[in-house]
Amino acid sequence: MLHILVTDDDATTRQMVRGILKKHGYTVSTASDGVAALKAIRKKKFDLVLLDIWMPKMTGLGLLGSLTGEAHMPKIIVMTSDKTPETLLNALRGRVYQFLTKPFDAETLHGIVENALSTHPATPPIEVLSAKPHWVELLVPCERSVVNRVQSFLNLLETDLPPGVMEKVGYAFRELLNNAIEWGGHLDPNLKVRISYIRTNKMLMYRLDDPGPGFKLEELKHAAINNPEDDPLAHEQAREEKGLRPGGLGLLLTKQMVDELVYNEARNEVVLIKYL
Amino acid sequence: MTCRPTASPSWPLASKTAGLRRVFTNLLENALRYSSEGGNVTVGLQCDGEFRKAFVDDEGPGLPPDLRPAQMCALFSKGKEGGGKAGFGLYFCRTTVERWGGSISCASLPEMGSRFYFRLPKAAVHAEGEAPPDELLSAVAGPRPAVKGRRAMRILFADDQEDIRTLTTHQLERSGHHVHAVCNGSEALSALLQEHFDVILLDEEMPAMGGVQAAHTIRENEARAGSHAFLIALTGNNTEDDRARLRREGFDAVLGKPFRLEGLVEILEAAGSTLALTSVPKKPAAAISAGIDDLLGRIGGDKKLLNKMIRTFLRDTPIRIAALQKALHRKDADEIASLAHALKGSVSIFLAQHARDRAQELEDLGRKSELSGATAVYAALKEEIAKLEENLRGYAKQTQAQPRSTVSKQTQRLTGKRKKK
Repeated sequence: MLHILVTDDDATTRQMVRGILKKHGYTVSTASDGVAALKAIRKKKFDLVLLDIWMPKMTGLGLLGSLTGEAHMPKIIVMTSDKTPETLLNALRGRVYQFLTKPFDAETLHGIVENALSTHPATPPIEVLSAKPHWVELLVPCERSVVNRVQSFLNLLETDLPPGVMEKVGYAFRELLNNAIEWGGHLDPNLKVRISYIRTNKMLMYRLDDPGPGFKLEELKHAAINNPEDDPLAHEQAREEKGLRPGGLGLLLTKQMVDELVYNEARNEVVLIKYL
Repeated sequence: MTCRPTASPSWPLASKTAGLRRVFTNLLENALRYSSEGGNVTVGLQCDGEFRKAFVDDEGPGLPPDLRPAQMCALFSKGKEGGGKAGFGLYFCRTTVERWGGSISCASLPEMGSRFYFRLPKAAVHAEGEAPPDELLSAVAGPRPAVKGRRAMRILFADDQEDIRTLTTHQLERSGHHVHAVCNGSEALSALLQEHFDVILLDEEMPAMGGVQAAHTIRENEARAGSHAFLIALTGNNTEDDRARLRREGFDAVLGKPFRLEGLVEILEAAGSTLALTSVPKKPAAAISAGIDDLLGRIGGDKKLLNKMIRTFLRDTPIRIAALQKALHRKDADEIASLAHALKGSVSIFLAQHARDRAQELEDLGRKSELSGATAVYAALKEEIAKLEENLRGYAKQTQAQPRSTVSKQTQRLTGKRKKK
């Protein structure tokens, strides 16, 4: 049975999380501070650790620091109400699997836990190349679960943006990252996509650099972005011929969501910009 | 809205109902969007040789003269005024209809308004199986006009599928009912805190909170308040066993999906007659905080867990408050920050926003070692927490001291099961 460690100094939170997870059939242990959690982790192989950040004796970040270099590093989900960039970025450096913002509900908790447990334990971690609030740079494995993880994290850095902007940029980024992982990286977790997130006063910029050889836009007959003006449905036919599901609107929609969308010559690097 | 069946063609749609609904929903939404108040929207079906034809007419401003029909149905092309959302709707209609071998187009009507129409080849649709001839009509146009003399009901409708929500709401409102539509069980529960409803329609499967879970909570709250709403389950699992199961879960009626409006109307009529017999709901005796009910939804409706959490909170909080007071006395900024943070965490579980904000303020002051205003914030925090504690105690007492006769169905079922063992 899958074993989860819940670490939080607040007994009510521990009780809630434990109650919800037990109901879903997980075995749950708890710890009320960082030191106790570290002890438990060294003694037992947990499949997943849910970690609070601010705890007495040793904070969650302190615990993450102590765990670097350990032979067995369990997957860790940080549960926090502290969304300061410093905390988020430090946690990310500590190879945290995902963030869960407090307060959360049973459904969200269960979804994130289930997702985390269903990804292969050997999936290479997200590497942090730069963790400054205005310049985050990550190297992520070409694996589908990465999209939700990276996005949940970057969303937290964008909480000051108006919801409409967040949603649009989020959509566009998601679409591009999915493309990079699927078409550029062929879903091979050993290949990496490099993601840069750059935030200035006047703009938000993402750059994605995928490991593939790029593509020619003319060859994307199955994508709506390529349709001639007088035939907005040309791609549908191409998709049918290729046996693809109906759709192919991703790039076209992405273009509508942001202010700039530019590719390099080979088209394996893309930059999207939203002016603020 | 007028419905004009110009023939009684066989519309074999069993496998396409969902897609067709979306096409019609889009066309109807467009028509309604461009209609002015009091205007008519007409839906019609026709036999046209080897084709079946359907149209939706409105009395709006008509089509922009410089737009060709093909452009109207392209992506992101919107009419000039009063345009809707992404400009996606007609594009969807076109791809759907064309995938079925049909075509869609539009024209300005001679006097005023516009007509959007599509046709589907009979042969193509026949291959997919037959369905009752009036299926389409009931899917789009709704029932006969509302039966006069029937009482208008307040209906809460929870379904996560937007097309079903829009269409059903529209149809029910047209029959004179008041309808409030939401996307999941927890939204339904929130709506119930604000408003009274006679009939509650809950889709069985919805994200965040499904119909069964919502029904449990509703029935439990009703046991306390002494009221009874008519609960209807909408379900894709429509076997006899499922119906029986849903009735046991507290539903008064079960409607299989996809449903025909006649089916719903029948149930509503039955509901109308029973509702007349039920008592007018009393206001809940004590103001059970909306936050607690909301929290119950958030932890999956587990009352036992909630009561446990309340006990723990009531046990730990006074200790923390006392420690906080001592830390203030010692001017120990780190300790103040840490305790305030912990309190913030636990009060936000109970969704006590004011207490949370005060705790946050105190935490910030501690982190910045600015303790001059800390005592005042502490006093305010203590007051907010006292309110929350009182509320929680009241809730715990109420749930424990339920008279036997009003014990919820769920509890009865549980005890029943235990006896069997």
